[in-house]
Amino acid sequence: MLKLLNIRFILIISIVFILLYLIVSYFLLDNTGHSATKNLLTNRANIIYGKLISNQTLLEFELDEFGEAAILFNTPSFDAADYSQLRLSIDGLSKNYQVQFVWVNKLNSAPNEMQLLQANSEIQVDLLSRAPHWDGKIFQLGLRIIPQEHLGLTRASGQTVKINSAVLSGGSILNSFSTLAAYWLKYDSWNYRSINHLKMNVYLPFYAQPLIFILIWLLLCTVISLFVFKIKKMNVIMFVLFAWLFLDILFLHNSSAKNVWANAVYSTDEKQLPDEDLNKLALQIKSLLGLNNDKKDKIKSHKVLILSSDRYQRARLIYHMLPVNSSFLDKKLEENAKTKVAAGDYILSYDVANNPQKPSSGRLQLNDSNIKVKEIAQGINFSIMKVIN
Amino acid sequence: MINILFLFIVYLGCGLLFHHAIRQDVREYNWQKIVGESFFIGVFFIVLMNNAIQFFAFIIPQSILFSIIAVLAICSIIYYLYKMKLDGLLKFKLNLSLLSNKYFILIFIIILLHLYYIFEQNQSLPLTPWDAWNGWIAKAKIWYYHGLVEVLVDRANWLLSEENFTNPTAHYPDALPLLYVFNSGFYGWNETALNAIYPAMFIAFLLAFYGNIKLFSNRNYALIAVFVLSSIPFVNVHVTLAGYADIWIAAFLTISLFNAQHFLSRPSVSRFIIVLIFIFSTVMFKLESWIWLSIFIVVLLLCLRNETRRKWIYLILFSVSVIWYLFGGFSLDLPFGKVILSPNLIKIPALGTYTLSFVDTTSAWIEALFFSKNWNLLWYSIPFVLFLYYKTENKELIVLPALYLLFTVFFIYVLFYMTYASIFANDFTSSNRIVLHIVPIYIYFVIQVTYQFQTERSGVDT
Repeated sequence: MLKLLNIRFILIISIVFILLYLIVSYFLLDNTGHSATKNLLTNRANIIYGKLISNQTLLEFELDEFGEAAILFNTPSFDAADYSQLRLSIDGLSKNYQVQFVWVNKLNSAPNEMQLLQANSEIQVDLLSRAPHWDGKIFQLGLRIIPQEHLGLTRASGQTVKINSAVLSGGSILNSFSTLAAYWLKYDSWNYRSINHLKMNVYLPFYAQPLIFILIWLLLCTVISLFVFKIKKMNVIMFVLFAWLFLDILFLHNSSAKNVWANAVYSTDEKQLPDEDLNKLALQIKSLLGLNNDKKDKIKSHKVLILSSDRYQRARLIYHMLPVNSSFLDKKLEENAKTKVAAGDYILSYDVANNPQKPSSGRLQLNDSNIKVKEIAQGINFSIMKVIN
Repeated sequence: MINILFLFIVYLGCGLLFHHAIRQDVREYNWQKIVGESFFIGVFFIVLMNNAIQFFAFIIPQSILFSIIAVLAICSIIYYLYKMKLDGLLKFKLNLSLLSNKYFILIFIIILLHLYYIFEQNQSLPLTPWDAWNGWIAKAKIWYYHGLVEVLVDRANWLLSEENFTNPTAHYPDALPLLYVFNSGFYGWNETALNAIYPAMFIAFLLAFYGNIKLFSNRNYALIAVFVLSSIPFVNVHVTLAGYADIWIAAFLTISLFNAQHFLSRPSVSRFIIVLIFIFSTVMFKLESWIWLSIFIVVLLLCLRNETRRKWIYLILFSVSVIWYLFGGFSLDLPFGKVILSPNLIKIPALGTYTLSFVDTTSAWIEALFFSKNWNLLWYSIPFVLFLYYKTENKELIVLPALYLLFTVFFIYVLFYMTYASIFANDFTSSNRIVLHIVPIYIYFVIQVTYQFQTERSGVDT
């Protein structure tokens, strides 16, 4: 089929691609003409979470005991419109982690945040101008380093991270030519929503999304092919194939990155889970109640009712409690909770915010019901009770 | 990788001899179709076997069952190969002519790359999707520890019961958990190893997809179809992140349709049995499949009529619908309860009551199908395909998928525009997954229409 396409034609559709890329980049980069730059590492930054190692020309630190870090840059307030890009280079951070840019532009209000492109030692250009709320006077700036959403595992502390450069700058197509491609190749980690929907990049405008870009290119090439060159319609199929391949290569690139991450994080036989704390709690409770996997009759007849206002945490706890006979008690659903429990049942009250519902004077208050219980064990975020009658 | 191949062999062996025994004309088959479909027949038999064990409350350890089945499966593959050799049908001739074309080599490499990433990630990740650990696979875990005889009840009954277990999918069919329980007979409760059934199934599905489309068109079109299917991001996700039933329904439904097409071309009892096995397998996985089954029956009955009669039936159906709408529907008092089918309310005993009121979910659908990373450019082909369908004269091989897609689109419209399920379209929790059920059929339709159109235009097999 390629024989149908002569060299001149291939050259022209390639030029169309490059021109389209340049035009989209121009609009994307918000070329305001501002050439000011601001080096965020000039003044010593404060490490809020994590351990500072060096704060000279580059910022070197370790993640804290929860495997996270937060940095606050010391910079006088400035106008957001003067800077539309963040140029960041970070060493020592695996794909298990994401970096969020955090700023405050209204005093006494919650900070805004933007997930940055996957950090690496190369300078990544993030488009602040595309982030919601990057406007007005900026009072505070910072970075937050946390595991990827849902499936990123919290690593033990001791991981050294280096911020080689962190510079705010104005937009310019000349030195940010590859930014659009970087956004197209952005690393999308797995999360619990992936099974339902793979959404587009939220920081790219409609016209800069790869799917729309390639459709515009496809349309232009078809028009040129049919009306300018008057070449056979078969070319359209070639363009469609190329467009499909283009999107597929972007997908494969991300698959490759996720593969590296999966092999690095989950390669061991003992699959550590993102909610390992809940798993440990479930193991602890099973052991406490003597409900081991080899005592099947016992784990069947002892029901464990999980009481937690967070539906996700509750469901995960039930999953980790398996094969113990477990489900939930819901404050909103149970009209007469007293009739729903029997003597000998266990109630596990759990709260991620360390405020689990606990019994008072041997009684657990649930809506209008008052259940007589005996607290067997308790911790900062849980309480396990046995129903008396 | 070894887990995937092992499970592939076990299920393949389970279905191979049955597939071999029931087939009629060897010219209607190719090895890809035989291998691919045998795997799914194996799945059907294993689910059926575990259903029977559950029903009769037999106490048989799954480890013993798996060992026996695995040995029998390997023996059946060896026997099959031996028999093929005796019959002179097994020729160890590697046909590489397809790969002589450099573009096809590129396509082949891309398919392999997709499979590589699927295999690697599937066999690294823990059980991830919400409904998998909350429902489907949690059910399997209960049965793994307490035996298949354990009766699961809904939560309301669980609160009142003394020793029963509960699960959010207690009322759903059990095929998926039963497959996990069966495989746990070999792997124990190792969720990542058990997830290998998904890539194993996907290999079988790609082979069946290729083999059948090759029979309806030619191998160039078949390879392109496999490339399109294997490169759809949402399909990749559902094989990689194991634990949902949707990709199974998609596979069984597509193979049912392929075999229904063979049955329509040359009706026979054995072909009909194969269709029945595949289409009833879909209802073993999910309740929604009863709708797919109903549509399947209607479409098959329509396709059994010639074109003129079909047009009359369309006219009758249209007239009945108009009358039904104008008279505000109807209700019937049946022995098992009252059935109401009106423009405002659908009430079917056992299936539930659905109030119908229009909710606009168009923007969510446009985003899901056209402006997301789910489907590559697949749905942009709709105008192109409709044009080709209109232009194609011989519709013998395309009317079945066309009608099936038309009816499913109508069902999806009613479900997501008229019922409370509109919430799941707007939050994207169900819309893409239900579309996934018909995506392979749509790809087959696109390929078949294109092939038909090209053949008619050029006058030779393209």
